[in-house]
Amino acid sequence: MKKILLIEYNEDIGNNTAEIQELSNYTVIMAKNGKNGVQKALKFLPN
Amino acid sequence: MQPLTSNIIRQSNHFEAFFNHAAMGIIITDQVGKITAINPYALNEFGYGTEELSGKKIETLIPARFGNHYIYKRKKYTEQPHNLPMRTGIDFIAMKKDGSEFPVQVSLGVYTHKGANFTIAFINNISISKKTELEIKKRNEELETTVQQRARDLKQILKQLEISGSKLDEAIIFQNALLDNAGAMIIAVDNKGIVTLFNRTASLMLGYSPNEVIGRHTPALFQQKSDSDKKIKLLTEKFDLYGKNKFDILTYKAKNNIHDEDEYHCVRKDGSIFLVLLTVTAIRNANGTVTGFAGIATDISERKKAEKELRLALENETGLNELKSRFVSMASHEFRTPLSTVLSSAYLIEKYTSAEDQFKREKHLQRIFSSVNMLTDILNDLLSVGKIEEGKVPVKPTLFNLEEFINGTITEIKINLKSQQTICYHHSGKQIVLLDASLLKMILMNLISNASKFSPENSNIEIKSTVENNTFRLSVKDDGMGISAEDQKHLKERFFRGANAANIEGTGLGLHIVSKYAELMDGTLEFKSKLRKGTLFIITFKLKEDSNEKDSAD
Repeated sequence: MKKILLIEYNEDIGNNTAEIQELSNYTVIMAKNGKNGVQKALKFLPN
Repeated sequence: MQPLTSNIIRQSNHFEAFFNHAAMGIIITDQVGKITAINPYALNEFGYGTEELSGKKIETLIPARFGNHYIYKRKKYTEQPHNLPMRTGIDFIAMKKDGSEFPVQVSLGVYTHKGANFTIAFINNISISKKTELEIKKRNEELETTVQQRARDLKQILKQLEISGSKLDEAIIFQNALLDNAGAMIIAVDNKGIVTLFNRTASLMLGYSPNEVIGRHTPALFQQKSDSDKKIKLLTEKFDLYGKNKFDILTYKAKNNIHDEDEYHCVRKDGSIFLVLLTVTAIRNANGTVTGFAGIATDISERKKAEKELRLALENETGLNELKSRFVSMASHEFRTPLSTVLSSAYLIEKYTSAEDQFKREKHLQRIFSSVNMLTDILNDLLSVGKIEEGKVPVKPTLFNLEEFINGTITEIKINLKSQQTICYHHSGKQIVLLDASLLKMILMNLISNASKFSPENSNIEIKSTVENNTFRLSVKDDGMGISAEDQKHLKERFFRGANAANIEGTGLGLHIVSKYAELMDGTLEFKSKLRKGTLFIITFKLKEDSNEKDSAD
C-alpha cells in the first residue's frame, strides 16, 4: 500500500480528503501544518 | 532892519550858489524869450562862453527845424503861463553852439519882477537817460519777445503736460484699480523692509488700515514668525548666507531674480491665522538698482481646505478599495472551506452504501450541517454589516434581568467552546436593566466566541457584569494570543484580521459589529491587549433613568 502525507489545517477537509484517498487504498498520514508535515515525512517516508 | 538886510543878502547868496553850482541847466528868459541869465552848467552843456548868450533869443538853443513850432509854443505859454514841473515836463531837442543836437527835458516856472514876467527853465540833458530809456525799451521789447516765446513754450509744455498728465492719470487710475480690486494682497516695502504700499485687499484681509502700516511697520507685523524663521534657516543653508541679516536673507531670491514663491501663515490684527501663497519680486529703478520689494499674496485657505477634502476622499477611496480586497480574500477563504467540506462529505456519503457504513454517513451529514451553519453565520454577519451601514438596525430596549440573561447566553454558547475551556461569570449591582436584549446577545456571543477562538484549549474565559451609578459595565477577558499594538488600531474595521489570526477562521466582521451595536445603544467598546498575554474587552452603557426606577420598584 502506498503512503500519502496530507498536510491540511482544516480538520474536516483533512479528514474527508484522507477518507477519499483511503477508499482508493492509500495509507494516509495527516499533518496539521508544514513543520508537523516535515517531521512526519521524515518519520513515515511517504512514497 | 539890520538882521532883515543880512537875511536878504544871505538868501541871495544861497540863490547864487544854487544857480552857479546846480547840476542842471537853468536859463531865465523875459517875456519875448530873450535870455537874461544862464548858469554855468547850461553854458557848458550848450558849449557857449560866459557872455555869449546874453540877450540872445532862447530859439538860439533850438535847431532851426523846430524853431517856428517852438516859438508858437513859447508864445502860447507866455499868454497862459503856468508851472510845469520836471516829471511832467516837455521833451525838446536842443542844439549846442557847434550845431550838434541832444535831447533835453525842460520844466518851466514863471515869476514876476518889477511888473515884467520872467520864465525860468530848468534844462535836464536826458541824452543819457534817453539812451538808457531806449536801451531799456529795446531790452523790454526783447524781454517781451522772450517772455512771449517762453509763454508760448510754457503753454506748449503745459499742453503736453496736460496730455501726459491725463495719460498719467489714466495710468494711475488703472494702477489703483488694479491694486484695489486685485483679489490678492499687494504689499510693497522699501530697502529697509518698511511697508510703502498696502492695497485694499491686504487691508481687508489683515484688518490693518494702510495708515497703520505704511511707513511704520515691516511685514513681520502680520507674518507668522515660525514661518519666516523656517524660511531664513532654509535659505541660509541653501545659498550659504551665514551672518547676513534676516531681511537680506529673506529677499535674497527676489534680489537675484530667482522665482520666490512660498506658503506663509498670515496673522490678522485680531490674531486669527490664514494661509497664503506669497510671491516676492524686487522693484528696480531705471538703473537696475533695487529700491524695494513687492509681495503678492493670495489666500489659499480655501484651496488648502479643498486639497484636504480631496485627500480625505482619496483616502476613503483607498480604504474602500482595501476593504474590497479584504472582502474578496475573506470570502474566497471562508466560503470555500465549508463548501469543500460539504462537497467531500456528500461525495463520501455517496460512496458508503453498505448498512455498516451508517455511522460514517451520519458523521459526514453532521459535517455538512455544521459547514452550512458556518456559511449561514458568515452570511448573517455580512447581512448585519449591511444593515448597520444602511442604518436599518432597530434598537428596541426592554426591561430584563441581566444576570439571568447572561447566564442563558453562556449556556447557549458553551457547546461551541474548545475542549476543556471554561467560562467564569460574576455579576454585581442591580439586575434589571433597560436595553435591547437581542443586540446585547449578539455582542456577548461575538465576544465570547472570539475569546474562545483565540485562546488555547484548557483555558478560562472570565466574564463580569456590574451595574452601578447608572452605568452597566460588561467585560470579557481571555488568556489567548492577544492583539499586537499595530493591529489594535484597525481592530474595529470591517474584514480586518490580525496578523496572528491568519490561520483561524473568521470574517473580520465580529468586532466591527460589536462596536457598531454598542454605539447604537449609546455604549462604548474599549479593549486592552498584549501579544500572547490575552485580551480584555470592556463595554460600558449609560443606563436610562426609568430602568432604575423599575429596578427599585421591584
